[in-house]
Amino acid sequence: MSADILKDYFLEKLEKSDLSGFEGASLSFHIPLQEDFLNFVLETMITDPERMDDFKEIHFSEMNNDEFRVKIDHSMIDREIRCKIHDIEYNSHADRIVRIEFLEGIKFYEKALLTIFGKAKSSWSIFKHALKSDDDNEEGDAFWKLSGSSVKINLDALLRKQELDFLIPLMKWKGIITKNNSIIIDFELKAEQNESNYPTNN
Amino acid sequence: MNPIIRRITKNRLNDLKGLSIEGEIPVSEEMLNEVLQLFLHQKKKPQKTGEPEASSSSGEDSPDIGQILGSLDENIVKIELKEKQAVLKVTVRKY
Repeated sequence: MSADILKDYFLEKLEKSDLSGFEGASLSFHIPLQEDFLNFVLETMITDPERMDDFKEIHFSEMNNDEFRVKIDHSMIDREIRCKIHDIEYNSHADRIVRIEFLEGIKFYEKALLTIFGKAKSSWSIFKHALKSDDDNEEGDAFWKLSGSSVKINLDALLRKQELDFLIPLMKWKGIITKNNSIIIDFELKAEQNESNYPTNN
Repeated sequence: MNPIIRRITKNRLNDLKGLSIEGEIPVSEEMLNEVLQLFLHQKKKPQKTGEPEASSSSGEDSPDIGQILGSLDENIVKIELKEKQAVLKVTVRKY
């Protein structure tokens, strides 16, 4: 007997948005990613030629009070940047967006260059490969958008890229913060039929 | 194995200290019985001609439950709950 039967059964139901039988289910996830582990994950990704090998280094540190420092060594930029994670908000399509603001480390003219850089897609699209996205419809459903002063990550588009669309109406993002030198991701999965995918404010 | 998964496993989840998953999953009597029927009546994958019969991963002496159940003329197992609902309470933590 195989647990795959159970997995297939629930996956089929979720893909059909059929929550009958487990309506009212609610699971809260609190996932802290410690500095050492986060940097190991990034190091693994940048040493993979199919992922982010155009980066020589990405290293997170000082992750506290919703801020962090990231050292990026890339052909386009070699700098340590201090960033701030803002609250999850919505775009005009009601997708959940997390904005990461560049606080220090980038000069005015570099911000302008980054804006152009972001629009031109360039090798930053390697991020998408790192997260196993495909190249289809890159512009239409990109999960990140770079501007001079921040990068916006579309959490719902990221789920769609991973073919996890069925999770979007179930997922209530509670927050992404930095604390105790770690990035902490909080969300809930709630099986509530006909409920919108708007997150709760906290 | 993916090096990230390997590290998580090898370090016995110590990289995810502070992790918690908590909540409740109410499961209806109807669904429990549906899942139970799936287990009871699952079909064996058809074997290709010339392919040797796969032995059970748990050892030669282990009985093939699927084969035994499939050989029965009648097998009915049903769960009955008083309030027609089971509630699975989930608490997962890594300190």
